[in-house]
Amino acid sequence: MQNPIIFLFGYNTITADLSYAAKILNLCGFYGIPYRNQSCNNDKISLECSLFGTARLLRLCRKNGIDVISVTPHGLPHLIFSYRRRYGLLIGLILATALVFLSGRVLWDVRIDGEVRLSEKEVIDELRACGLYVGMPLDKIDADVIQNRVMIYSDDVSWISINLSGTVAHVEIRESTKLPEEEKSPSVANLVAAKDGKIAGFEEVRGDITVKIGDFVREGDLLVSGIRDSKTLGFTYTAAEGKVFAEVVDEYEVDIPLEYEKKEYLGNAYCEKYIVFFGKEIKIYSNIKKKTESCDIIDTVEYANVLSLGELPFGIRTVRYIPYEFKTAKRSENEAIDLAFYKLRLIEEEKGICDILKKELSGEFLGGAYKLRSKTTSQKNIARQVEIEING
Amino acid sequence: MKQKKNETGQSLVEKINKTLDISPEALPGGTLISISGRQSIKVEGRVKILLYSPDKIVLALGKETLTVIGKRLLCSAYHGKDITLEGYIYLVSFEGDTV
Repeated sequence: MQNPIIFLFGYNTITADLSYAAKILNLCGFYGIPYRNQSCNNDKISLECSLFGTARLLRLCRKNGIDVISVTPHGLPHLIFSYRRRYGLLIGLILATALVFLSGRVLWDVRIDGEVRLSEKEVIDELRACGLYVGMPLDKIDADVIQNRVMIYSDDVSWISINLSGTVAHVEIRESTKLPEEEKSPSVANLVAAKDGKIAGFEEVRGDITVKIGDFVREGDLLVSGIRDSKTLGFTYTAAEGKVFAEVVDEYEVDIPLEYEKKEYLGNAYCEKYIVFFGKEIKIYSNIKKKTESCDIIDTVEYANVLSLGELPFGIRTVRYIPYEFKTAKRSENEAIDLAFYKLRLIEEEKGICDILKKELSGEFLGGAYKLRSKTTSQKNIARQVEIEING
Repeated sequence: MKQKKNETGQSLVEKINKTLDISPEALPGGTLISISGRQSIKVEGRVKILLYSPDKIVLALGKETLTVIGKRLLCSAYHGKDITLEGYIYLVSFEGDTV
């Protein structure tokens, strides 16, 4: 293994014919030129001298008529000299040195522990708002101040602890417990009809039922009263509640045009690439010739993850632009019918239509569109609680 | 220094050395030779290489010569007045007459 100091300052291997060995060694001894690793191989003598010593020895050899066969340079100065035109290497070396110097002075990662309801992203956003984020200088982090800020401004965090370990901030939180809101139930209320329908039944009703099964009621009609005239004790009040089932008719119409605007992608996608470094971005690539207004934008960021050590604060952001245009397209009649039924199903699911007693469907092609009409008779709870105020 | 010899054949320098018990190498022109096993010889004093080869090295020590015969002989260090020879030494001999 070579001495690193010798490599650092560089040296030369001088080779000459063995017949000159005594003269060369005498010159080294007489003039005090230090050498090392002297050896003899195939009638040649070689020895290693420092750069300065080589220059002196060569001068003396020329003066004394000694022919030197070769001078082979070694060491760091020779290495640097041989790469002197590789400016990129020099710039890279400077950048690497700067990065190594700076990397120990910024926050690389924030690790969260203790979150239950809150997502990690929400906690990180809260911390960022209170002054803690990846990429900030370590000497500007005041854990006590940030902790206090988070507890004051965040309703979701009741306790927080921030510990700096090297370039990583370990954050432990305890979320605040939210009590369920008590539903304020009215003291006096009636049940009225939320929709028109034919009364079909009652379930767990409290109050005075004012309708009977088979009655047709309209929206707003009184179904169950919370006020009772007891004739002997006067009026008594209660909050009427329960379920009143009725047969309800719902009508829906779905209109599917045969000609429609279809989104078509133009096939050529453009992209821009950015290097993301501690929150800062530098654009490194773009092939967008002209910006189109109509395009889908897909924005992704991939952070480096080395040896499963977690995400590192640098990565590549790719923004893809996929242009499209709307073109008129035609659908077949079968396609229109299928789509109409599909949309009708979606409407029924959204409205919560179940317990269907009867369903009438009718469809026709009219004016370049397919119209599907649905008349559904179903049984549902139409009772709606309405609070009433009692004065006195 | 031209040495005068007495009747016993000793030079004046040798007589002074013996009387005052001074090491010969301490006087001007003196040479100290140290042999370490069969691998190394160190010569301290005014010395010059007369002949060098991997099998034979001849050193000039003033008016005398020191011949070292061996195998894979190297001059591992040579600065100022000191020289160190390394290798496998068969024979070390002195030539020249100063007595």
